[in-house]
Amino acid sequence: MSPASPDQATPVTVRIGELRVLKGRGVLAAIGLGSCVGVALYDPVSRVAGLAHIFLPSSQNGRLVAGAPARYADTGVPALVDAMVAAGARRERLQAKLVGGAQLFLRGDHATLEVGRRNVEAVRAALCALGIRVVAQDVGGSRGRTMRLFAETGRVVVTTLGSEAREL
Amino acid sequence: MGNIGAGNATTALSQLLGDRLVRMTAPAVAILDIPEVGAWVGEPHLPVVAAYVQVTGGIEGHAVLLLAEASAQAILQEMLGAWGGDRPGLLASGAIPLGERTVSDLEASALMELGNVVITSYLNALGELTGLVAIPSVPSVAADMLEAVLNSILAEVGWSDAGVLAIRTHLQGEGAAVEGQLLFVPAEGHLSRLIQAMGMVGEARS
Repeated sequence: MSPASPDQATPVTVRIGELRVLKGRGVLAAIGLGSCVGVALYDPVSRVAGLAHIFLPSSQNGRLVAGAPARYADTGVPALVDAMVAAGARRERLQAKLVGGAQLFLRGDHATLEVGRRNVEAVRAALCALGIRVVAQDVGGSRGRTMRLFAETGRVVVTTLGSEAREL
Repeated sequence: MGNIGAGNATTALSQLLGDRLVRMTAPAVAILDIPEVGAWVGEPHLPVVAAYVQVTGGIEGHAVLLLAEASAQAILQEMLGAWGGDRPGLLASGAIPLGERTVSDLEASALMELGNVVITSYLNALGELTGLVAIPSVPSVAADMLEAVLNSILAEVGWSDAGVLAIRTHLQGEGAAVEGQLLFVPAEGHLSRLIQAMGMVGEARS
C-alpha cells in the first residue's frame, strides 16, 4: 500500500462546538453545516490548519466552554487562534475561509430562523477584532454544506446536495 | 404513551394518503448532547424534506416531520396528482430543492399542510394524555441533507448542558411509499413535566 494522498486521507470530523488543529498533513471536515458556520484558518508558512464548527453567535457571558470551545462565535474564534498559535502558527499570517450560515427553512412564522446570518456576522466581527483577513467564503443562501480543509495546502472544498464539489 | 401520539399522527397521514395504511414504530426516547442528535436520527448526508414547527403553550418545544426525499415526492404525487406540476416556485428568495428540481408554490404549501396535520395530531394526543395544551406554529419547510436540517433546528433549541430530550418515531407506509420520522424536542423547562406526565423514563445519560 502506498501512502494515502491528502485527498484520500480519512477526514477528522469536527462536530458542532468543536475545534481541531492539524499541522502539515491530514484533512479536517465539518459535515452538514446548516445555520452553523465552519471557520477554516490557515498559516501557509507553518502549514498549521484549524477548523471550528460554530453553533451560535454569542456566548453572552464570554466564558469558554470546556469540551465545546467553538460553540459560540465570540469565544470560539479566539480559542481557535490560540490553539493554532500553540501549534506553531503566527496570528498575523492566518487567513480565513468561511462556509455555512445558511437559512434552510422557508416561510412559516419563525422570525428567529436567522441564526445563520447572525453566525456569519459574529464570526466576521471576531476575526476582524483579531486582524484576520477573510480570503474566501461560501456563506448564506438556503443550502446545507459539508466542508473539508486540507492541511497540506489550506485548500477548502465545499459540497452541497446535488451539486459538484467546489474549491475555495 | 408516546405510542398514542404517534398513532394519531400516522392515522392523520394515512387519511391524507387516501387511507393507505401507515405504520409506526414504538417511539424511541433519548437524552443527547447537541452534537449527538444528528447521528441518532440518521445518516448525515441523507436527502430529506422537513416540516418544522415551534410549539408553545403548556408543552413548549420543537417538532419536525422528516421524510425521505423519495417519500416526499410520492406523498406530493398522492396529494396533488397532476396539479403539483413541475413549475418552479415563485418563492424566489429560497427555492426548496427536490431531486433535480425545486418545488412549486403549491407543493410547498402542501408540504406545510402535511407537516401541520401530522404534527398537530401528534401534539393533540400528547395534550390529551398530559392535560397540557400544545400550540404549533405555522410550519417552515426545508429540503436538504439531514444533518444540516437538524442542526438548523437545534440552533433554535439552543444549547443545554443537561442535553436535549428527543422523541423519535419512524413512519412506514405500504411498500416504500412513506418513510419518515417525527422528532419532538421539548424546551428545557418542559422536559421534566413532560416525562412525568407521560410516565416515560428516558435512556439514562452515560
